[in-house]
Amino acid sequence: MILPTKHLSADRALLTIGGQVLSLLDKPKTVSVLWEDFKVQPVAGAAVPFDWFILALDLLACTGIVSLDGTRIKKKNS
Amino acid sequence: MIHRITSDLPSFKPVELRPGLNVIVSAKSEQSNDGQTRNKSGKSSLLMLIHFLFGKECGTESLFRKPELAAYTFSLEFDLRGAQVRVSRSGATFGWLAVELVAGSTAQWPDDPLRGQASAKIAQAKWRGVLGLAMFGLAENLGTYGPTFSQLFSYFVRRSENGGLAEPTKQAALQQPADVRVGLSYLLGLDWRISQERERLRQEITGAQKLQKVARDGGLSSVIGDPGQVFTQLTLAQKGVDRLTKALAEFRILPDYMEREKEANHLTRRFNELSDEVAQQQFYVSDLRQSLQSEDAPATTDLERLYEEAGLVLPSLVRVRYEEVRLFHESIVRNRRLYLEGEIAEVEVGIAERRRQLSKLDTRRSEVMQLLQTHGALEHHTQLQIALSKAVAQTERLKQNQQLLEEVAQRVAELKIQQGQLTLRLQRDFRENQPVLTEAVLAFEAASEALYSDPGNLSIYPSENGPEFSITIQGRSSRGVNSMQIFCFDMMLMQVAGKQGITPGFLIHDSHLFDPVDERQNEKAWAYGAELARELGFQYIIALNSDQFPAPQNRVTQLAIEQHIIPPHLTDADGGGLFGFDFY
Repeated sequence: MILPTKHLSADRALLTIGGQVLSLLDKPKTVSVLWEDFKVQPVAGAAVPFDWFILALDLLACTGIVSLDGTRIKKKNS
Repeated sequence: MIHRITSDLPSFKPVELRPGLNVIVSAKSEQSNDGQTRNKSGKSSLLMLIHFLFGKECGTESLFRKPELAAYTFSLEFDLRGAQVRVSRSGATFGWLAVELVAGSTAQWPDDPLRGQASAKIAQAKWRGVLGLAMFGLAENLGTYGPTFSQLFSYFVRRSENGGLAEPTKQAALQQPADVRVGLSYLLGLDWRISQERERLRQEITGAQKLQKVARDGGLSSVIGDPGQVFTQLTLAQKGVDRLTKALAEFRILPDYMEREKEANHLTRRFNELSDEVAQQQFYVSDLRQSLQSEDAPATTDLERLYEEAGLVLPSLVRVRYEEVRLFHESIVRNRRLYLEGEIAEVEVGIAERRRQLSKLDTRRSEVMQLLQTHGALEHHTQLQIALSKAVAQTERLKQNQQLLEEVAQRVAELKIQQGQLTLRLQRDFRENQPVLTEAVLAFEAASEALYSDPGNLSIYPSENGPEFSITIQGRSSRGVNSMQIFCFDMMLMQVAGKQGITPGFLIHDSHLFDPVDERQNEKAWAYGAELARELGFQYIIALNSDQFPAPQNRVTQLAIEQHIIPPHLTDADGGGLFGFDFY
């Protein structure tokens, strides 16, 4: 799920997707904006369903890299 | 009658003439042969000299203006209406002639340049005028194509080098048919004005027909258009004028037309922009709704699995408790729903606002468009007016063209009617002049009868072109016969014109006339000429070569021709000619 396996390609792994999401968080963004921004990403965007995207966000929350600031998600150290 | 011809040129051989037949003989020298074509004796020069002294022959090429002769004066004494005068002229002062009264009186001259004086200097043209009046009764200014002194005089002194010996009715090869008709009508006493008028008409008709033809062939299309199309063009042009007039009458000027036009463009652009925005937003809204419905939040079981796996895979990195992660998860899912719904509501408000704007724009645009359709700019009005004045001018031009073509056609028709009237006038003239015509025919026949056993005929008849003279003598083709036709014709002229007192009183025939004729015929002609000259009292002057002289044993008439030979005796030897020296 997090790491790529025999049945999960590298670009579908949550770690990969999380990295991509993280790169979009140049500033705090609402889930909607982040989702819209993510969807237009050329490689991952179109193929990843919303729940998978949320799980990637959850993973980032587990590791404490992002947190919720009101209605916006932000990087912890920024 | 001519009395004498003299000159102050010492070597000139004076000519002394008598009443009746005068024969000037030029002796052929032994050395001359048939190949010698140049005649040096000066018989032709004598004819030139006579023309010179009667007011002609003074062009730059004239013999008398050549350096050898220009300095000398030549004189001729002749009878003119009760006066014997001497006329003198020199090539050096060729424009003027001296006229002296030798005997008698000029009282009978209609125009007397001497005015009681013994002599006078007269300009060449004036001299011809005086001669025309006194000799032929020619009033001055008889109009174009009217008879002239030179024209009539040349019939009595025909010149071979001008082609005067080619046809009986023509005194020069280049003489135009109309000139012949006018001249001969005058000499015979017919109404020459008919021929003059006929020629004037002919020229006019030719001109008008040429114009008509050129116009018909489209040669004037650049000027008057295609004549076949003139009526159609005129109709179309008139229609154009009507259309423009109507358009102008109905024209309503919109002062700020340009601004309204810009506004309409701006409105359209803005309308399109708003429409595009509405479409985009509607698409966005439907997109948002779809997300809201289909994209459910991931189940918490998945989250639990994630958390477990994270603990396994990234044990050192999981720093947040599960409970906190679950709260985060639920929060972002819930917030997104709220956000999406808010977004949808917001966009829909935007759409409604734009729809209102669109509706307003549409109304305004309709108003402006309506205004633009029913009104026009001042510039358009001016353009319409310019187009109208152009169309009016074009119509006017076409009308004139049509009129011109009609006038030309009418003119041609009128001229043809006049021509027909002239033909009738000519026929009437011929009926009225029957005695004169009869006399001419009989005079010709009498001369012809003296020459041939089978006499020729002269017939004069009124043709559409004017009086026609046709002559038949047996054996037409031979040149000798042609010469005798001329002889008979000239004798007829002396008789008919003489009766009216309109001849110079002399007739001169050059040796060239007799060249192609056989000896016996020539002798008969001279005998007839001598007899007629005696009878009518004119002077018949002939110039002969000695070899044309009939040998005594061959004589066929009683004419004692030797008795009529007058001085000088010319020869073609050096110095034997009229002027006493040769020049080229």
